[in-house]
Amino acid sequence: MAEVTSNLRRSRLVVPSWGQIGYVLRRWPVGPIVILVILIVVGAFAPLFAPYDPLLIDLPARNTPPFWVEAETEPRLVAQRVDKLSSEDRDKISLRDARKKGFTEAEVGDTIVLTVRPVGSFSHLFGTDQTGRDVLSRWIFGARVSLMVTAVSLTSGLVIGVAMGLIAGYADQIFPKYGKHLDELIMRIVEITFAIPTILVALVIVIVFGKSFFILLALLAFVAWNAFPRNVRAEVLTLKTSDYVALAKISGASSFRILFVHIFPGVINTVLVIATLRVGQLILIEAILSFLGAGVQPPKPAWGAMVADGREYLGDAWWIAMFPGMGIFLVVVSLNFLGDWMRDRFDPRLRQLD
Amino acid sequence: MAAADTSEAPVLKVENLRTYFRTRWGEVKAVDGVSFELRKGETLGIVGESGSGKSVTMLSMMRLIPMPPGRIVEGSITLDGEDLLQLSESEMSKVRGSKIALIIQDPMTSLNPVFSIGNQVTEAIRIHQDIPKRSVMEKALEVLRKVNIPAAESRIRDYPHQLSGGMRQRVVGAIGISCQPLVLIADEPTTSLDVTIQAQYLKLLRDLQQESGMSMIFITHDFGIVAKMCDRVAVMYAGKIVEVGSVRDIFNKPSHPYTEALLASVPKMEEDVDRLYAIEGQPPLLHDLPVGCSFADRCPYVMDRCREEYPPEFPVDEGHYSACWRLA
Amino acid sequence: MSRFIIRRISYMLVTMMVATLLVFSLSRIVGDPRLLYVQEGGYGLSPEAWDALGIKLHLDKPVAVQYLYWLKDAVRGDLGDSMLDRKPVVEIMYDATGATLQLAFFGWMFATLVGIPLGVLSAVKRGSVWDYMGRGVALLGQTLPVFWVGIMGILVFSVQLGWLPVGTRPEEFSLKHYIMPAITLGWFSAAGYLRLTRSAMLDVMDSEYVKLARAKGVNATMVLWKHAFRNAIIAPLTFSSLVLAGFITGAIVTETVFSWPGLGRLAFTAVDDNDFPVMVGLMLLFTFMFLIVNLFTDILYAYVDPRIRYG
Repeated sequence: MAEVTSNLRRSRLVVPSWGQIGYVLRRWPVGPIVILVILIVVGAFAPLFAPYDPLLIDLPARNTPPFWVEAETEPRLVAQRVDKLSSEDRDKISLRDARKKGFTEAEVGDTIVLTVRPVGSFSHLFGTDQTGRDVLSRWIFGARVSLMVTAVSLTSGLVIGVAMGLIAGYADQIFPKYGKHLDELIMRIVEITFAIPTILVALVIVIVFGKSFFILLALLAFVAWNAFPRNVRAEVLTLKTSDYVALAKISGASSFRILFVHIFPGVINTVLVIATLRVGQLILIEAILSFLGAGVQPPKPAWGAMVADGREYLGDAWWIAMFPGMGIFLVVVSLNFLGDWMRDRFDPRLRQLD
Repeated sequence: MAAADTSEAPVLKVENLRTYFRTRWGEVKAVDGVSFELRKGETLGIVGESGSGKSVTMLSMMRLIPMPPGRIVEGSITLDGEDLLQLSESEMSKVRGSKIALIIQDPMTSLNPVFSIGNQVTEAIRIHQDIPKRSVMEKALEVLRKVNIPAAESRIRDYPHQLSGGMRQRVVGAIGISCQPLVLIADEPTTSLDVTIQAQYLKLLRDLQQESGMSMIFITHDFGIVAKMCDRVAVMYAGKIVEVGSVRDIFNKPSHPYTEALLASVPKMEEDVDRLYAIEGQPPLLHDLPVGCSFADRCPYVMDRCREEYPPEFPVDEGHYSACWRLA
Repeated sequence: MSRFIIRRISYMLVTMMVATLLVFSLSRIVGDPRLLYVQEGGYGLSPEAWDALGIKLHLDKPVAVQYLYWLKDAVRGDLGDSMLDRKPVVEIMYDATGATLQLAFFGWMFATLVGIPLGVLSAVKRGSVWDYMGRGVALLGQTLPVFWVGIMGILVFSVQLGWLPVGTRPEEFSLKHYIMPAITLGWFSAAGYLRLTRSAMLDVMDSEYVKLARAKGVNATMVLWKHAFRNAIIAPLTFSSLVLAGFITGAIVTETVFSWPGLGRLAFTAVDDNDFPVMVGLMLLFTFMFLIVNLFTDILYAYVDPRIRYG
């Protein structure tokens, strides 16, 4: 009796076994989800997370490396005279040291200019860029910009694309006479847009209409849009023949009602999968456009633009380009994994989709 | 299972063949101890449901089992004196197509769409026979004519998609006999053909067999075909042969409950029934075979002994064997 | 077969016409097209120059007639002058085309020589080290942004290791200079080829006719190359036209990263400087190149797959 009571009083904490943890890790895409959630949260609440104002220029601190980098000497651009012996004097450098630093032709008495790397510190975790702005803060705000731009374009593109797919698939019911032609027309349009090289068109549009944020959103929505109609239409064609749709028709429901109340829920799975797979591409395109200067305009931070900025300083300040690039890579990889997982889980038929 | 007394050695002798597949649910025993013999000029039918192991048996005989998940665990396949399982892969590919040939099920997909008919027919001839190039083409035309392809000379340049289903199946047949094999295996060759074409094709196969004296193995689930084409029948269930005998014996005196059930499920025109007979239950999962007779759960005559031990083969008549405890 | 070719060519011409129409209407959408010829934040044009430009563009005539004039000039090779250099657009493009074509060629070589064999290996030796490598390459190819590959390449191979020169096309031909730009350009497409080839091979190897070929006694290597590969290659071939379309996009970025004096960088500078005539010329040129490649691929496809030829 006493033993039974003492059993009951034992702690209720359940520690998952290694086997159970492994099971969860294998079945669910934990890694990508964690990464994406962190990025979304950080981006959404950027002002809370960013240590500095991303636009704050601080010239004396420019080109500071990330916190783990140690440097040899102080952060300055120094002109030094080559001397025979090494000297305590800051303005002098020994011949041997000069040669070691790569000035193989130097002779005593020459003046050489050394760019000396500043040291990293915890005040700027990711270092600073060429005008002294904190890279981490810009990175965080860049995430926010990408997030916003992608979310808006994806949503608008999704709405339009899905609507088009729904209408195309169900057209012959809505418009008994022209339905089939409408369907074909819509599909033709989609096909044509597939053949268009996006970046090129984007550049032309930018020239004609100028570099505005709205244009960027519209462009990205356009890119996001054309992934949906084809597959949504296919789904509609299948669902059209199911019994509950027939029942609804018999009960006198209007075509639109059938479409949005009955058919649409069946399409959601496919849409989710396509959307996830598309987001990665959208981010890449946004990055490329920003890189080329046609996307988000400076001084607003955007990952692609940061990489473009960093390009000139690769030798000295590689971190300016590295971190945003890593950011893009991480996001796209996570989205890819997540998208693949969703596709396998929700709609394996989409496996042909590339 | 042993054959009847024979005066000459059988052309093909399969002994205790076991082919297992490693899957994530366990080890699937697709073929679990199959033995039979085939004599010269004889046609053996192998019947069974899908999943009974008949196709895997055939693939094992040709050694076309994909080796990572599958493997031939045990057994011997003796063709014309040599054990096929002991041969190296390159030796085996010399045997395939020349001594033992295959006609597979679906004519739509068995021919390579990017090569012409002529290319595919001559390929087998070129590989196995050492004859000059000019003769290769003649041989190909000859064999195409034998399978009754009209206007063979012009057809030989056509591509598979330009031929009808029936003609494609005949081309597959032509490829099969092109090197005069000792044994021709036909795996449900008529399933995807129209009924009228089926009859023509079967007649063609019979004629070819009579002319060349080759032995045939017919894998099917259709008893009508068995009745028309086969001399002997082996009935397979869950990876094992449960009954074997001549066609007459099997039809008139089925001695295994499964055979009886199969025959009963074939609707007969003369009878007037309210419900079609279907065997109750499901075949067992091949990775989780029960101890004892695999048919026990569905057998109307099941006894306790059936669930304890797998029955050996019992002789019913000469050349007729059945693995059922009722015959003990 | 020749009917097929003629049909494709006429289709191409029609599309080209549509493209010119689109390009032209773009320039007229914003109202007075002369606005496009004025550099943003630049000096503008004097009233005389403004009027002269109006006459040159035939702005007094109806739009359709303007289109015809423009088309006539375009066909004769006159696409106007670049706003930046005052040099004829056609000349500028001509100078840049060679560089881009060479880069595209090497990029394509890389993509096919890496993508297709790895795809085949990955399919044939499933589960082996090749398979994982192949799938890794495919993943990286899809997710690493083009410019980042280039920049990282420069960082690692030029700056840190000093093995390769930092792009920019040299006067004389030097293979070393092509390596990084070609890899950067072809990287994404290599991944595409890999995935396509791999899945095509997997499909084909499971097919009935491959089984029959084996049953015939054809030895394993020949089954692989003669039967399987010949069928599997059809899909990647069609992909080539998409690849080259992707190269148009990719070239813009790659050439910018590597300061490669080609059409891509031309596009980039045109956007930067708001040089509309150059942009128009580039659009037409790119469309034309894209259509030609499509034509080639279609013909090649018909040759390889008899079902298209006689179907």
